[in-house]
Amino acid sequence: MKSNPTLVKACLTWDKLTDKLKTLDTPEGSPFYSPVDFEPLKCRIDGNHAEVTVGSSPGHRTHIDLDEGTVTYYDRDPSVNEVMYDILSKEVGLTCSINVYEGVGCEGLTEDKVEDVFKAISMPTSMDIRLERCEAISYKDAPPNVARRKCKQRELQFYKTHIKNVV
Amino acid sequence: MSLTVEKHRHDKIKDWMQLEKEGRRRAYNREAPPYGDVEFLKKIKSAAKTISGRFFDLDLPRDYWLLADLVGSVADESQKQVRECIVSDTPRKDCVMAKRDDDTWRTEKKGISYAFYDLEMADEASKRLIGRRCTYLRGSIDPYNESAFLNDLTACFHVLLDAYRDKVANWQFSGKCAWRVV
Repeated sequence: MKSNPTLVKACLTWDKLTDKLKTLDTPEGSPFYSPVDFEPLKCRIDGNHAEVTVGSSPGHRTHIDLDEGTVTYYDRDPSVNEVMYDILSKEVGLTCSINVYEGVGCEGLTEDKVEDVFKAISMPTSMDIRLERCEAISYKDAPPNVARRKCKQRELQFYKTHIKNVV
Repeated sequence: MSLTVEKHRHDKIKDWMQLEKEGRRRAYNREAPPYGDVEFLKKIKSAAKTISGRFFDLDLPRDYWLLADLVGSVADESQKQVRECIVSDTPRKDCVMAKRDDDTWRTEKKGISYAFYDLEMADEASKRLIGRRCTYLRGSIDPYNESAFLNDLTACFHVLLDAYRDKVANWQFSGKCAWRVV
């Protein structure tokens, strides 16, 4: 089935965005994306459905379905799922539910939100590593729950300032 | 929408069909030393690598990209022996790629012929994909000469091209994105 052009355009935006993010470093001095996570990134679009591989772990994928109006993000990392839940529901404006050990499922996807979804899924790649290093280095003296909260906020802030409104 | 996409699928297939034709021509020309065969094998290796990547991008079952990887490996592993035949001006029909020694297929210098065994694995992958092996002469001609080898390698490349036409030709690729166009 011929692919939906909105999905194709958004995928190409994601492609360029991830290329750009790959060149950045975190405040801890490590790459924004680890090479191991960046290498398998790919997106396959068939009709109104896109399947995006967002990392190196088996099953670290996102399904975007315009027929159903759904976005399903699969991850086993609770903190990453919490950040993705915030981005997809509060920033992109979808109606989402979260299972912290399985992922985030969202409804209410329409064509005008597709590009924002693709931008959002540039974030989870290597986010577990970024969070870990953020806590261990930048917030090493803070209580663990505070450090985790601060680091998750930092991820969200990065999305807002560097990704959300970038054309 | 402005897209920078790689060379169009059908142009590539056209180039690869020419390559297949070249393989058959070279295999048929049994009396000549294998001049130019190394360059041909390099082209096969490069084409197989591209095809394997596309199979992988589309998440096709393992046997698709396995067959592509094996064709590429065979094209790579055989170059050294072909070079030796070029240096000694040995015609393709006498240029030994593998020879049975007890139950093992070995090169002229008694090493295991990896090209022969990778072709055997390609045959197994082909059986799972299309229900038959992709080579015709491997195992039935001893010594297994360059002419028979090129015939078999080209035949496996042909199976690969059929799979590519069937599974990939209707897709467009750019960077990390792949989308169906038909």
